[in-house]
Amino acid sequence: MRKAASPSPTSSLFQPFILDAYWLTIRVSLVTAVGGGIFGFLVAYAAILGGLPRGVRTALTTFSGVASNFAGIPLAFAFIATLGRVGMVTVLLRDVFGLNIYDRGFNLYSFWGLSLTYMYFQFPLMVLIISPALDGLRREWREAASNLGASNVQYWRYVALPILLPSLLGTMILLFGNAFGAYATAYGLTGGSLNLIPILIGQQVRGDVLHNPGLGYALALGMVVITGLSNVVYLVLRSRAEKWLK
Amino acid sequence: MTQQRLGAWLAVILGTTYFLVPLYATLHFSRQAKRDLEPARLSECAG
Repeated sequence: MRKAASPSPTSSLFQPFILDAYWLTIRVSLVTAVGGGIFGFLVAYAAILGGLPRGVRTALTTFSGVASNFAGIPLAFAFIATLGRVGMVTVLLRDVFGLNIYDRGFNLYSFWGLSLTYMYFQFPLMVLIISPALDGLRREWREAASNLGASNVQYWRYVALPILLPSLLGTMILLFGNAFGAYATAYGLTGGSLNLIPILIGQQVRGDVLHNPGLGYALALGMVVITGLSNVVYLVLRSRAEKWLK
Repeated sequence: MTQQRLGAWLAVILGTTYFLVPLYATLHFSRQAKRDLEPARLSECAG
């Protein structure tokens, strides 16, 4: 009996559900990169240049080192225990404040729930990587700007942000790639109900009902292309940002 | 306390809360599960 020819991986690559999976994965990665980037930057700025005791920075950096690697199934379980339907915070909000977040439309096992979970390892990574760049922001520049009559907004717009922009952009691209490749956290939390590329690759390669390793490899190559494109975007943005440093 | 320092403390407190709450929730869940399973374990030992 002749073996039926399996579909070509590249012809299967442009099916609507695969293109939707790429778009959903890009959206989750973008949201968590930007959100984690901004939040991480603010916390890092507060700890390093906010005039807080030195111990705060040490504690934050130490904890960020651990939390940036706290991902996968343990993280998914931690968030289910926190914000699941009978999670600690869900029950607390319902019993103490009379607020049922699930009745209001929140769902941990959705796009926003997954993004919130991803932030847990995205923003400590931002804190760790942006800290040296913030150390390079000298107090004398702020004093000089203030002596010349610059307001807070003007200092940030004309001095600090142009200097920090290459580092900020580079770190956000890194966060994008980090979220793009996350598999265990998404699988542990959503059980494959969210159509993400790493989960699709796992389904194709593992052979659980679907089994088209060639398609899995093609999907992985698509991920490499997208990550490569994001690096090109970073290089373009960085060259524009570095004009300010010349 | 200056406004800037207050803002910095607020950011650090919010960040710390976001880090610590899921960890505490995991501990709370495992303590609750242990409490719920204790009667079943005791009756197994007795029987």
